[in-house]
Amino acid sequence: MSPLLEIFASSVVTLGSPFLDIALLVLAVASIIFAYLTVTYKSLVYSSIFLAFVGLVNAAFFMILGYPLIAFVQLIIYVGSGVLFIIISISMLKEPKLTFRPNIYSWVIMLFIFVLIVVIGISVGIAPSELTYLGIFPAVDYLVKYWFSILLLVLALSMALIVSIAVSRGERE
Amino acid sequence: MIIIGLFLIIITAAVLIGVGIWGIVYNKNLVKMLLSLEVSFNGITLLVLYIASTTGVLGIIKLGAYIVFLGIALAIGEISIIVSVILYMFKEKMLNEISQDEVGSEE
Repeated sequence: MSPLLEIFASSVVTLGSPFLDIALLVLAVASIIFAYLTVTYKSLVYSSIFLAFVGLVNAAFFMILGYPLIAFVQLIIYVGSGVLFIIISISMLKEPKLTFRPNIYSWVIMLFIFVLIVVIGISVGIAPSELTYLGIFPAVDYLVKYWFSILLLVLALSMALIVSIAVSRGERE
Repeated sequence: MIIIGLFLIIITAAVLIGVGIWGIVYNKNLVKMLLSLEVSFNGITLLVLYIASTTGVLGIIKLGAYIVFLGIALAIGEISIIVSVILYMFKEKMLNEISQDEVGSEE
C-alpha cells in the first residue's frame, strides 16, 4: 500500500455515533450544494442568500471541530453583518443582466485546486486521534444558556432576509 | 456501518475552494465573482481550522482560531469596500451590467 493510501486509511475514522456521522455527511452535502448554487444561480439576491447558508453550515462544522466561539463569530459577524450587507445592497439595485463565460479552463483549474487541497489536507491531517469532537458539547451549553439571545438572533436574521427579498421584488415590479 | 469522518471535512473544504475558484473564472459579473471569492474563503477557513484541530498551525493549536478570527474580520472589511465601490460605479452609470468587461472601458 502506498504511503498516501495509508494516510488516507488512517484519516477515515468514525465519529463514534451514527447520529454524528449522518449529521456530518448531511452538513457536507448541504455545504457543497449551497456553494454550487451560490456560484451558478442567476439571481444575485438569491445567490447571496445561498452564501449565507454556506456560512451557516460552516459554523456548524466549526462547532463540531471544537471551536464554538469561532462558530458564533461566523454566525454573528460574517453571516449577520457581512453577507446581509451584500444581500441588502444588491437588493437595492435593479436586477442586473448576468453574463457567463463558460470555458474549459474553469473546470481544469477547479479540478487542479481540488486535487491539490485534498492531497495537502490528507498529508497534513495525519493525527486524527487528537481530534476529540468535544466542541459540540459547549455548543449545546450555549444553546441552553443563551437560548433567548439565539432566538432573537434567528428572528432578526430571518426578518432582514425577508425584508431584503421584499425590497428587491418591489423594485423590480 | 457508516464510516465517514475527517476525510469528509477535507473533501468539503477542497470542493468549496474549487467551486469558488471555478466561479471566479466562470463568471463575469463582479458581484458573482465576489460571492465566489467568499465561497473559497469559507473553504479555506474550514481547512485552516481542521489543520489547527489536528496538528496545530506551526505547532500551536490555538493559532488556527486566531488566524480564522482575523480572516473573518478582514473578509468583512473587504466585502464592505468592494460592494460599496461596485454599487457606486453602478449608480454613477460607470457600469450597466456590473460586468467585468465594462471596468476600464472608455465608453
